[in-house]
Amino acid sequence: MKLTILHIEDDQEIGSWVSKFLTDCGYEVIWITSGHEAMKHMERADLVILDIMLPGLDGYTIGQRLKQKYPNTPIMMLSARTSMEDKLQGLTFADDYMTKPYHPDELAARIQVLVRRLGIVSPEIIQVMHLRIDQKSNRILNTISKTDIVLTGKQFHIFMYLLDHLNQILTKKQIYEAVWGDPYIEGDKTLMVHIRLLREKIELDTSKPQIIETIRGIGYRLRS
Amino acid sequence: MNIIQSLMTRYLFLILFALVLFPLIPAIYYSHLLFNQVLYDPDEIEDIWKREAAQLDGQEEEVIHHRLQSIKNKYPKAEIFWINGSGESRFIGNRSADIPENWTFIDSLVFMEESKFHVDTFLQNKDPQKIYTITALIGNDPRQGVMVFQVPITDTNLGSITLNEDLPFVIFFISTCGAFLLISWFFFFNIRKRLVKLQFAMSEMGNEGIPDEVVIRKMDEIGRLEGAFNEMINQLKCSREREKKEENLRKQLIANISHDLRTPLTVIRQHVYSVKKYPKSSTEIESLQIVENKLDDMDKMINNLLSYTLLSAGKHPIDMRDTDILDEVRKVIAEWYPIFEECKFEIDIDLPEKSLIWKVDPIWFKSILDNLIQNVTRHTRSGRYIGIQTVERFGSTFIVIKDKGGGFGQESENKGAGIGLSIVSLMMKEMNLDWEISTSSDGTSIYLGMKT
Repeated sequence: MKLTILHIEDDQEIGSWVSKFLTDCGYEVIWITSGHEAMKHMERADLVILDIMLPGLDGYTIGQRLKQKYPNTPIMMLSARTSMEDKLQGLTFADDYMTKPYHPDELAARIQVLVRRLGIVSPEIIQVMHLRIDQKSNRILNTISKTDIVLTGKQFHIFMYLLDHLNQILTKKQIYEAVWGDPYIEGDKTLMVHIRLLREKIELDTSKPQIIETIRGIGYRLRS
Repeated sequence: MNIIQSLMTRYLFLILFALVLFPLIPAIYYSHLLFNQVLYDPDEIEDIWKREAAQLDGQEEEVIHHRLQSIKNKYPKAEIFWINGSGESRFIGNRSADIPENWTFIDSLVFMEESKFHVDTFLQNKDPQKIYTITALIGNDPRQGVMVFQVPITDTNLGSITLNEDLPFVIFFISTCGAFLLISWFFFFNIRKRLVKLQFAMSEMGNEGIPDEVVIRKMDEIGRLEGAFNEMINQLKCSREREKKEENLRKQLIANISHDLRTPLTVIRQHVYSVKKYPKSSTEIESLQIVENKLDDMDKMINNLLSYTLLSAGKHPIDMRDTDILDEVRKVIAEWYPIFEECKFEIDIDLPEKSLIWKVDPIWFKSILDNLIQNVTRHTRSGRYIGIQTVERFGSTFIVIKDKGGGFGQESENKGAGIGLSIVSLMMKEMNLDWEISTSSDGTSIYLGMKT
């Protein structure tokens, strides 16, 4: 099923291009040039891309109203207003804030992240190297040995957190606090131990890990 | 201003009051003594007495008696008697018990000695003579006799000035002086109180760092000063408001310019993206890449211009708090890591696994790191090295960002006006952080640390 994106942008050149780009990316796009009609399209919209400088009501007001009525629909601000104040004001209700001139690929990637993070699309099967992860049944299959990999609760949490941030470097603190829910104390080896055990289960060669990469001095990255 | 309300008028009035009152009090108090004739003038009596004595030369006892009687009538408080040639006392009126009936030579001497009026004694002695005595030889001849005039000192104008015996007057005088002092003190205390209050109002900051207006109660000199102060406060408030409006306008203008510049850039980028998707030749790809890079540069420049304007106007929001700096550094590196990899940089990260707490605004600090790291990726690609480490300098931990580029002296294709570093400098200063750049043709090291 195609996801529907409500795109509110008054600039004709930008609006038409983004709409075409997103349509090419496989989304259904409703493009409107002012916020007045936004509410009536919200029933259909899975995600909103919103400009700030709009005729009539500005993007902040429209965004706040939309979020109030449809709190589960993610809103991404896409604006040429780049000051810290604007971003902070936008992020009080929006889920992401992107500044113009944007990289189209980055826009597509961020939309995907939002969609994934907010669980708008149903879990799918992801292939990472020799692993096939079925997010629906929470199964990890080793495609070489054709066996299921059994992980402990913490190992699974770590793996899934890294998978949610595929190709992104995460600091040890970020991983620890997301998985354990406690404040991270610098120098704590718990995460390292768990990663080592996790690698033993998922990597082909633990001395040369290909899936969970160590970024020296920073943290870890799950490579696709 | 009403002249009556003037402090100067009131002060002059007070002084005038004192100047007039001090001599006036004794004058009024003793006016009854000065203006009625009850006090005898010893000089005048002495003159009369000598003259009479001379005139009575060779007169009969009856005549003398009669003459003295008339003097007695004129000075009823006086005691008058005379001693005839035989040494017998003749009294005019009642006889005084102190005076002998008959006089011997010794009696005369003692009497003369006792009743002699000593001016020095009178002024200095605490127990002065009480009786003023005038004697005269009748006809200037001792054989005819001596006539004596005695009057209490208090009935003459000699004895009426003894202040130490006049307690009510002394008390009254001291009270008047005290009252004057009290009024003067109250007058100056009042002035002082109002001045201190004004000073307090001037130094006490109200809303927006401007003192509040004061309430004017009296329209004297201080009242006018308070009025001028209020006027000044009003002008200050107006100017602050105007300044705020201008700043907002400027901020708005810069934000709008930045917005309006970005909109066409967005359109350009979109079309570059479209064209890049179906390139015709490698030269085209190269050209489009340059266009994209320049778009990025322009984007950064607009961003820097906006940041710099806001920063220099003190309008960039700041939220200083205790921050784990190494954690912030790691997060920033994590974001930049893919770019380092793309540029094939040798990445040398050496950060200890411990907390390093600095009081900074995390967003500002990230902005500083982004700026510095961006400089490395833009200007030092030839060096292909980035090192982010901690070092101990001057007893505290510094973060150092190293590259192996050509240093600041090198001409970089992407070199700008240095606005990025100006922003870093402003932000570092604002957050009370210390930074130092050490640059040579072998590379640059930028040290960031807490001010000691």
